[in-house]
Amino acid sequence: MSGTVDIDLINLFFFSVLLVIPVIVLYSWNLLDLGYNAIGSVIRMTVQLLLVGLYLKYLFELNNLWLNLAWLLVMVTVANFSILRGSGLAVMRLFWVTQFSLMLSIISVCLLFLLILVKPVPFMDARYLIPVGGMLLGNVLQGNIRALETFYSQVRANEPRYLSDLLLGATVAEATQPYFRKAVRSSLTPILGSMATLGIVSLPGMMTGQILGGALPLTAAKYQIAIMMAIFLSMICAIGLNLRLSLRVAFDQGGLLKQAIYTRQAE
Amino acid sequence: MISLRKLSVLREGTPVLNNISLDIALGESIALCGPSGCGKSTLLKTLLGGCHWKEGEFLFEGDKVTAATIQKIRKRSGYIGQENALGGVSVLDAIKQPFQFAAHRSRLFPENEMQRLMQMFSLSEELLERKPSSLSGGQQQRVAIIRVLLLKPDMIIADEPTSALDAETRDAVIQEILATGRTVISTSHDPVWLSHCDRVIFMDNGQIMKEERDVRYG
Repeated sequence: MSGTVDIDLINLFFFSVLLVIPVIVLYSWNLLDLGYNAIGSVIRMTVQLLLVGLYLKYLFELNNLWLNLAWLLVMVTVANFSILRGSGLAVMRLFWVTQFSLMLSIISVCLLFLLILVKPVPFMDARYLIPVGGMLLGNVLQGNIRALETFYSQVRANEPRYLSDLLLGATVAEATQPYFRKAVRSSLTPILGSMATLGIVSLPGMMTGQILGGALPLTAAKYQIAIMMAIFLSMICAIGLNLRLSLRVAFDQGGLLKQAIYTRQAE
Repeated sequence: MISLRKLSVLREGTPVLNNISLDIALGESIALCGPSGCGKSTLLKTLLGGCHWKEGEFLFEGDKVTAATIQKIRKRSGYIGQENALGGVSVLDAIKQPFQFAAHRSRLFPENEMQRLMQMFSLSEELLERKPSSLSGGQQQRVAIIRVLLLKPDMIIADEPTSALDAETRDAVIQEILATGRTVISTSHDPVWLSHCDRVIFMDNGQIMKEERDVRYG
C-alpha cells in the first residue's frame, strides 16, 4: 500500500523507555504530578492510536460508504463534546448547534476536496475521506473552542454595553457584532500565522507523512497547500455557523443572555 | 402609554420588584427616587425588556407586551444607562452606531444636530476622534445622552442622567430632555432634575411607597 518502513512493536517499546528521562527530570524539578500526567497521557495516546490503527485497517479493507460516514459522525460528535467542554459552555444546550455546524462544514469541504482535487475511485474512499476529515476536524476543533470561548466570555464581560445597544433597538446579532468580530479574529489568527510560516519554520504533518510514505516532495507540498486551504475554509465556515446559530439558543426572545449556557462562573 | 399591573421581577428567587402598578401617560415625565438597591434601575430596564418579569401585566399603548413584542418599544425609545456602555473605536463611531441598527437604519444621521448638542453640552469637536474609554465619566454621560437625543425617540428612559454633570450642563440636559414634551422615565437624586419632572415616585424594597406631583426641591 505504501513505501513506509514499518516500525517494530518491540523497538517502539524500547523507544518509549526513553520517556523515563523526562519523568526523572520533572521529578527533580518538583513537578512529579506533571510526570504522572505525562505517563497517563502517553498510555492513553498509545492505546487510542493503536486501536484506531486497527480499526482503520478494517475500515479501509471494507471501504463501505455508510461505514465511512458513520466513522466521520463519531469523530464529529467526539469533537463537539470537546469544543463545548473546552469553551466552558453547557453541552446539553448547544450540542445540536455545534453538531450541525461541524457536520455541514467538515462534510462539504471534505467532499469539495475529494471532488476537485483528489478524485479517488471509489469517490468516498476511506483512505482519503477519513484522514482528510480527521485533519480538518482537528483544526476546526481548536478554532471553535477559541471562538466560542472568546465570544461568550466577551458578551458576559461587556454586558452593560450589550444591554445598552439592545435596549437602543439593536437585534442580538447587531448588539453582539463587536464580540463576534473579536472571536473570529482570535480563532483565525493562529492558522493565519501558521500558514505564513509553514515550510520555513516547520515541516507540516501531512507533508511529512507523505514524504515518509514515499511520495515525491512536490506532490506532498501540493497536498499540504490544499489541506491548509481546506482547513481554513472549514474553520471559517464552522465558526461562522456555530457562533450565529448559537445566538438562537443562548439568548431568549427578548435578547437577554441565558446564564444557564455557562458552566463556569464569571471571573 | 404604559401600564404596569402588579408586576414582579425576581433575581435568583428573590423579588427585586414586588407588585408594581404604574400608569404613565404620553408626554409625562416621571422620576423614580429611593435608596440604592430599591429596584429603580431594574424597573427602568424592565420597561425595555432588559429584565424578565415573572408575574403581572405590562401594557404598551393598550397592547400586552411580551419578550417577542418588546422590540416595538425599543425602536421608539432611547435608553441612557448608568454604566459606561459606549463602544466603538471613536466617540463619533459610538454616536453613529445606533444608526447602523436595522431599527434606525432608514434615518439620516443628523450631523448638524450633533454639532449643536455637542456645543450645548460643552463638548469640543476634537473629542469625536478620541476613544470613548479615554473620556471622563461626565463626558461619557454627555455623549451617551447625545447619542439617544439624535435618535429623536418618543420615550426616553434614563438612569441617573445628570449624576456626573456640572450645574450648567445639567440645565442644558434638562432643557433637551425634559422640556420637549416627550415621555421621560428616569431615576434621579438630583433635586433640580426632580423639580422638573411631572411626578416623583418614591420606591423602597422593590415597591412603590408614594408619589408626589409638582415637586419643588432646593
